[in-house]
Amino acid sequence: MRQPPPVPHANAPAIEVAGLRFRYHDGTEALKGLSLRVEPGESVSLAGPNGAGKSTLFLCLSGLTTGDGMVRVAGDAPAAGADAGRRFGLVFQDPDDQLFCPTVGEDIAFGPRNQKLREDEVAKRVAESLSAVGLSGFEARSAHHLSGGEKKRAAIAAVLACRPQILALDEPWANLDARASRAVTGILAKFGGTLLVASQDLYHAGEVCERLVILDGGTVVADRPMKDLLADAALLEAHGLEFGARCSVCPHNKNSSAR
Amino acid sequence: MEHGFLDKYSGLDSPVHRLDARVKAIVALFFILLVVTTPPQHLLAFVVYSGLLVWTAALARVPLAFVAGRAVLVLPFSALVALGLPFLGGGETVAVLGMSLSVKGLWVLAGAAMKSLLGVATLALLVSTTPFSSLLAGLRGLGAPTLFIDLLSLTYRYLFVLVGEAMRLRRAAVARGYHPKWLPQAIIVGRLAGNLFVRSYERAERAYGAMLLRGYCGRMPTARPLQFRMTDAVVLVTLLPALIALRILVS
Repeated sequence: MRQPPPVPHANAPAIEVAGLRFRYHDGTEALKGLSLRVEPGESVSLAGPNGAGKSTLFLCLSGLTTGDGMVRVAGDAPAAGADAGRRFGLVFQDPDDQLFCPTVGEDIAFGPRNQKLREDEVAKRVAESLSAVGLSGFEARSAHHLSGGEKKRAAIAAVLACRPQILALDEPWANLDARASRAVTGILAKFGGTLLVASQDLYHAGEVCERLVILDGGTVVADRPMKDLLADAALLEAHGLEFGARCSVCPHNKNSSAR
Repeated sequence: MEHGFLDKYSGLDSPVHRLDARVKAIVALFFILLVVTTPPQHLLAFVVYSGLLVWTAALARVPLAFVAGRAVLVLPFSALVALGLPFLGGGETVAVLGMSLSVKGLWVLAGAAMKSLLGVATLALLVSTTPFSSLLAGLRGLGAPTLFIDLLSLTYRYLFVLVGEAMRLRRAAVARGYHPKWLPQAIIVGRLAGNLFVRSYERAERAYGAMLLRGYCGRMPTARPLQFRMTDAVVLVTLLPALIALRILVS
């Protein structure tokens, strides 16, 4: 899963966004001059309160929507689907949106087939992607019959099969139980390319990302190494986030009632 | 509701399941044509047709009750079309429970019932012996329009997602005092339907976005070609003439 294919802009930053603005039809301004730069191979978590602009930023990076301002992904303007997911792979929050074929196998083969790979290579990609997410042998299963965690992993496999240079996930731990969350964390930790994770869940994001970018009100309000920011409880709280032993009944918490 | 409602047994392994989807689709279509063109008076023919279906179901290890259950679902629809005929048809009449019914109309009604039952049973058997994706590949291989196949494929995938969403909406309404039996609350059904439509529309947009990002450009990439084996050829060249011969023999 490691090597991204050689690209013309090998030395370009993975993500380069400057002064990006985006307004929805109803007038809501989701992005207000956002700037962000991510180098190849970095793992970055985007956090922030609901409506901070995380999902909108991902849509702009994917090319599904366009805002005003400069957006470069691996050195080029985003173009949805132009390279069948080789450059930017986006895992949606709801896996039901992403698994649109009758069987899991076909869903995972969808990208590689659009990349015009030979059918034996497609089969190899499907097997490798399923094995990477721990779902080997699920080819003939219907997505409808999978559990929430399995669906999420299948959706990730479908994007991984395109071998993206940059993998972006929108709320990858949402609606998952602890075991399924750990499985997702494990998959992301193994990914070798540039990783972008939009999540409120700093417990999980902290395990896979070295850098934390806090968005609020459509702009970047903090951008520092993960460990630094996680220690700044006041800043996190100011932007609707939390980290640390806040749980009052946890025996590991200094202020816990259980001690 | 689950997919099993549609094709619970399609994943089994049997000589019928192993046949090429195209062969099964052609034979099923051919069989339905025979059934539909047989005059209802030839009762023996319908007995033989039913026997063939029972035999195929046994060979495929698909429970007969399942096939019959699916077939019975069509009866209200054929009744809707044909139930008036005994009253309207002219010619010879027969008295049943004090009503004067047209004999010709009764035959047409019986024919419609038998033919729709056998037709749907055949399709139920086809769907129960062929995984849905192979069936789509088969239809595509036979030259069915790509757009139609893609539509079927997406419907199959999202039908029960939608059903689930509708159930959740309804449950939420019931939990807050909605009582479907009270007529004044009928307007709520309209609101629920509208809500469901907006949700489906948005889901369709998101799914289309997901398709675009993985390289969709107007058509689903075609799956691995089906395998036409020797047995498929044998089944095709023996079964089709046999069915024609049967049709000639019984009439």
